[in-house]
Amino acid sequence: MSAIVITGIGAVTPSGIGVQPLWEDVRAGRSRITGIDRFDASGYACNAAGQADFEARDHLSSRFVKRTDRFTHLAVHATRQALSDAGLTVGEDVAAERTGVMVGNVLGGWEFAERELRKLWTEGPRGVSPYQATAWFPAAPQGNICIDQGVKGPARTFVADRASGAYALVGAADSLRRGHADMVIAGGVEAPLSPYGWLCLETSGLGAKSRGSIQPHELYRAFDAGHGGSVFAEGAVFLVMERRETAEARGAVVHGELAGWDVTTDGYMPYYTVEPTGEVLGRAMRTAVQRAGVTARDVGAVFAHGSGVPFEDVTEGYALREAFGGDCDGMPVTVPKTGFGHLLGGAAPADAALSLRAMHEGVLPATPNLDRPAPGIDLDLVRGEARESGRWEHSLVVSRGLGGVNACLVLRS
Amino acid sequence: MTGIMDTDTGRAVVSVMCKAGFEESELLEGARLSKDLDIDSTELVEIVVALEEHFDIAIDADAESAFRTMGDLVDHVTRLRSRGEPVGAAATEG
Repeated sequence: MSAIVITGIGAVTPSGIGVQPLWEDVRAGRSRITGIDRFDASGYACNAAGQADFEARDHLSSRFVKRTDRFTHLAVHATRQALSDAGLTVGEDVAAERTGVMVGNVLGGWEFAERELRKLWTEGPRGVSPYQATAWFPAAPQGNICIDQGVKGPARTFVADRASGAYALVGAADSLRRGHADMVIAGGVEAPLSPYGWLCLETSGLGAKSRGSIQPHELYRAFDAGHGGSVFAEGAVFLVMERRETAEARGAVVHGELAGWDVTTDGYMPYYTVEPTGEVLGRAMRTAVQRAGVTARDVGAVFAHGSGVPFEDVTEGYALREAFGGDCDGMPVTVPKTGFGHLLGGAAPADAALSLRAMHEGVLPATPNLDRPAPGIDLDLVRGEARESGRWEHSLVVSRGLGGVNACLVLRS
Repeated sequence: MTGIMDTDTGRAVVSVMCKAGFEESELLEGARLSKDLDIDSTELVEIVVALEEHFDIAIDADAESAFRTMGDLVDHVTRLRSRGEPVGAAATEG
């Protein structure tokens, strides 16, 4: 089987444009979570978020911006970055018919949609933008990436709660291995910072609740005794993925390899909870490592899902123990997203990109706000300062969502 | 020669379309809506609704397919305005 390599990375996140500023923040343990100023969030349980300083009209034409939602803007720009990093032009370096696009997204484009729905109920149907139908739906970024880049190969959008982005990377690897494409642009995007989008996250029960004495940047506390849910963020992270021989034949710079993966499902009632033993999530972790052809002792770091939702944190710890037993003792676990926010559809691609940088630089980033590990979580948690551990070769990225979707990735440096 | 784009209506149509994201420099009389300006059916709906609201006119959906160039569009709006003015005036007085 051909190895699947990553030859380009693009990102727009609360740290800025590109992977470099994101990595610098994560490495330094700097938080990018602030109070929300995009809309009036004073009536919400959580008024902290990771906001991306990205003005769409600075990068995209105004005729494109007017017909699309912010999640499409973020995705299209991150994709352009990824292709530029890979040194690839669709239609020139790779045939349009042999290029694919795989996108993970959770919420859809609500900033655009809720503005138009307000017009529907106040002005009537004629007040609604004719672009409403095509701007809102979750596959809009996928379609617009294809149009922007002239892609004509397999394209798909994965909606699997917070595991959506991991599913997109797995979809890309499958597509490359089956020979359906020679290059796939894969990643995820989320733009949840609109009044209705934010409300959906609040009613999901997954969000942290603001508390008087706690600053916005202290609210997301994965694996900490004070954990109370995620602080969400907007952003897009996309990877250019190819079979190794294709990449090497064109002399591409290889950032790393998606060496193993697995998906499992453990839907559990009540719906908003997860399977309590971690057994099924653990199976996805173990199988992903096995498929990479290595053992638990070769895994130098776990980029955990670390939602900060207490029952998710605890069961993720159980799952790691279930999967790797005593080998967990020498397996550092970190949640850098605690510093910039949970990117939902973009979360797993961000962790994949960060794990490649971390392995390359031999630095294990820490988990911000992890002061006192929650009881029952028996892991080697990286907290405080980043660890200058020297290079390692394999990292496990864990991703999971409501309804029991689990998707785990193993990245090889 | 004074072109139709230099009339009050021509300038107003250009102004409405600039609000929809177009550049004034590309909105020439001979510019073809589909081939030169890449206007698809959805964007044409947006433009027609904006023109209807701006000029308080009603553009027949069947007429839309006859707009090939910017000049056609301005010409059609000009004719609707000249036809619509007395009605509008009467309505205002009423």
